[in-house]
Amino acid sequence: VTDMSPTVYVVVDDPSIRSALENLVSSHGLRVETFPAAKDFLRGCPPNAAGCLVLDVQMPGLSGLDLQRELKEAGIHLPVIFITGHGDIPMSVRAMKAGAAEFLTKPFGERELLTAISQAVAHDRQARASRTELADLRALYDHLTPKEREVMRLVVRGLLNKQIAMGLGNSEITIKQHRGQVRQKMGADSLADLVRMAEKLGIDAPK
Amino acid sequence: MSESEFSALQGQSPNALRAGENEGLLSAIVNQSTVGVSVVDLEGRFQFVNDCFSRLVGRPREELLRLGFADVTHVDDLSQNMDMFERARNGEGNFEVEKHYVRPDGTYVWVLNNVTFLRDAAGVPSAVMAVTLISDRKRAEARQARATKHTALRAEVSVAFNEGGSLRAILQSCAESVVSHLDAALARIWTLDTGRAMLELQASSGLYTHLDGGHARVPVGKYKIGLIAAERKPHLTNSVQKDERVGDKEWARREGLVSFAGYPLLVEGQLIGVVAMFARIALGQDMIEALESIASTIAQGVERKQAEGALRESEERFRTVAESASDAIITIDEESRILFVNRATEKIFGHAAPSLVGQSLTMLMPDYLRHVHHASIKRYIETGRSHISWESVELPGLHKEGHEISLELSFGEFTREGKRYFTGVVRDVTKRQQAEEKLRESERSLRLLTEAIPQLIWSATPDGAIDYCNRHLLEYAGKTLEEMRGDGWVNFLHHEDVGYIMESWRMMVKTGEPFEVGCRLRRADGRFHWSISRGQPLRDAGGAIIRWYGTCTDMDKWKRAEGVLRETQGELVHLNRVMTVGELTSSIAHEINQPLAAIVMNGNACLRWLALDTSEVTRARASAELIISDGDRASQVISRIRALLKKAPSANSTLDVSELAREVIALTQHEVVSNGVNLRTNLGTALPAVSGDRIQLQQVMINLIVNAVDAMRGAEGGRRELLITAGKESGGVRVSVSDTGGGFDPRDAEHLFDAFYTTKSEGLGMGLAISRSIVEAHGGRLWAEPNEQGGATFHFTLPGGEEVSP
Repeated sequence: VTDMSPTVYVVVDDPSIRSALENLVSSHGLRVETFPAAKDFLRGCPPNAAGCLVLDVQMPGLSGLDLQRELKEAGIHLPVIFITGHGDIPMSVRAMKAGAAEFLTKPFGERELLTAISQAVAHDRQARASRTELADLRALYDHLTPKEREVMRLVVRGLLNKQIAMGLGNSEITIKQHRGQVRQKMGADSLADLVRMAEKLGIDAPK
Repeated sequence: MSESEFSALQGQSPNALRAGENEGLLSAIVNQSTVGVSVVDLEGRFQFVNDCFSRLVGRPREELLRLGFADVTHVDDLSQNMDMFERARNGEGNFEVEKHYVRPDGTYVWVLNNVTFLRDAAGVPSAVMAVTLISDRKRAEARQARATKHTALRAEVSVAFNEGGSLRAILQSCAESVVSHLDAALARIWTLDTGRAMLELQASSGLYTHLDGGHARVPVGKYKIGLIAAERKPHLTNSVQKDERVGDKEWARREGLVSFAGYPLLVEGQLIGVVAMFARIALGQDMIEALESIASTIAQGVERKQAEGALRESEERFRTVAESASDAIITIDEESRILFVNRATEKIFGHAAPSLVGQSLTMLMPDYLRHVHHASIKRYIETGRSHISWESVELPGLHKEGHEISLELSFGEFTREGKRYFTGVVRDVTKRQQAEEKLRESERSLRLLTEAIPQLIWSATPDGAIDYCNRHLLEYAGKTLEEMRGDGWVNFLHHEDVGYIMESWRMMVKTGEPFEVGCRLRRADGRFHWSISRGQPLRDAGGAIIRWYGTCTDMDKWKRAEGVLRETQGELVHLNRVMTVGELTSSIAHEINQPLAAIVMNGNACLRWLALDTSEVTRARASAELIISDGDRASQVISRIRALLKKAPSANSTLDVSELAREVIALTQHEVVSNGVNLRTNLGTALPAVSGDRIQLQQVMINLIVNAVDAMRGAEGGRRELLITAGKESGGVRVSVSDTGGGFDPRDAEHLFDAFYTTKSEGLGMGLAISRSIVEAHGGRLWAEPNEQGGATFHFTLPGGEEVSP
């Protein structure tokens, strides 16, 4: 996985606004890519795009909200900053509900825009990082045998070896060996470490 | 000659006489005889005469033997005698004739001559004549007997005419008398027909009694009868066989007819007919005289009879005419006594017809006219001068019941036996006068009406010449009827209108079609007023135009109202535009906000580029250029809006509807998009150019787009699609705006365009009405159709010219 330098993707139909955004954002040293329509972005967007998306809510053809939904379905997690005309309150509410990062009403100030962009980019970076750690854990976990996963599920519940051996119908020694394998394979330093991993992977926590 | 002497002569052959031994004795006998004897050859020359014969004719034998019998025959008998001799010589046999010989001293003797033809031994023929003297007494007796018969004939003819009966019966009786008293074999009478070219057989007696057949009608100038009529001269012959005018000689011979006599029937030289007869005996002078005499009687009788018939007929005709006439006919004498009145007189005057005869004509007149009448008649009889027209005069009459009646009279006069009579024809015209009075009254009131009515009225002759204008029209025009008459009314028109008005007028007169034209008329004050002139023909029962009638209606107020209306419509169009633009406020705000927002951003960017250590001047300049371009864009939007809001008179320019549509779409895009409507366009290139008002046509498109978006906003759910197309149409272009909204009931397709018809809570409902009036003012058409899959499509067409160069 190559680390993409963050880019501000601009999808706006209005040529004035599009050029102005490109100009302004690039004057702050950020990479900018512009698209006149949502379908153009869908076609030209790299799968591991990093940064943020500045999107006009009202566009002919595929609207901003439609694009937001399509990106989610495609597993692209770029934070979206919506820009809109004056008075599109209902539209703003719908956009925020759908997980928009920010909502700017034209005309907006430079600082407003740049703040929104930098926050979105930072957020994207974090999200991207956390998405990377989990992927690693998931890869380790995928290497466990089904028996070892069963053991790990019960271990992170805080059960003793004896209790686990009884529950699974194995000897205590066998459980102990499995437990060693799990800790080694997952690279966990401690039981507490293993529990945190299980939490991230979404493995059932003890009730 | 005694019978015995005769037979002795006959019994002996002449040969015996010449050659016999008894010649001397015989000669003595013959010479001693008291019978005159002569022998002639076939040429009629004497061969032998005895003493007695020589004595009878008073000439010596020697002289006679050098002569022929013709030399001693009386001229009156000659032709008959020669005729008979000729026939006998040709084998007709012996004959006997009564004749008289002339003596050298001029006296004559009447004899009976018996002629016998003989042949001698050598076959040479000769004729022996035995002559006996007829005594004067005997002759006188015979003549008397004939004279008696002739007198009877004359009397019978006269009686026949006096007794009366039909002309034909009278003439038949005459013909029969001729047969019986003149010993005629056939007697016939013809009369001349009315055409004076044909003789018509009226009577026939003797051999034939029928009136039809070959001689029933004889043309004047043809055959012997027609020639008698044509020549007006009698034709007489005692030798029918020799007469060239006798047609059928074989018939005459068969019937033994010897003589013919035909007389023209003449009265004072005037031909009436022909009377003619055939006889088996020769006609004597007295017979001819008798026939001539009755011919005259018959002629006069026929003429009188015919005149009587004509008179009676004429009288009957007059009476029929007089009695059946609806006019009164009255005849008076010089004293004004009524001699005759017809039945109609009774009806008109109330007096019974018989009671009027013998009365004075003045009883049929009002008192005050009676002495005038007497004086007039008196003066006329004395001087021949009349003071009234005899052809036709209207005078009052007096009815039996005492009231006056209106009469129309005409007179005539005639004179009989030195006295004058007057006949008047009298017509009751009371009713006609009343009707005329009524008509005049109705005309007066109609005239009054046309004069009083607050309308401009005229009439013209069938060929289009003005012959009447009512008072209002004359006052309106400030002209007299004389000035307007004929073609004078042309001066009443505006000079620019004269051409086509005269053309319409000529067409009206030519085709007989009613006409209606608008034109400007010059009023009395010199100002021109708009007017509508109409003309209508009045036709007779046969469809021919009798007259033209027409009106002029002053339309000045209407024209001015029309101007005001046009202004109001202009206001309304503008109002609609302002309101439509008002509806587009958020769109417009968006349109201006876009460049403004861009300006702010570019401004910030510009500052940023300049503030950088690297001093990105190029980028800063680019930013400034963007700012300028955005500023331009904003101002364009504003001027477009201002143009739409401006109240300007319509101005024509050459337009491309696709371009127009693009501008409108730019203005309404936000409205479309913000309502979640998907806009598609199909704007053709190289469309025919349209001539019209840019703003008004854009207004139409805006109205249609805003309506379409509204229609889709109203319909919840479903897709929202707006399709705008512009393309070629025969003769121009068509623009269509199609939506997927609620559509409309096809029954409302036309109501959609009614003013104030709206389904929206806001708005006046004028948008479509105004749009349609704009399109129609551009010569186009605007209509709506429901779409098959819901929604509606509005189309409008505009006439186009050349293609717009792309």
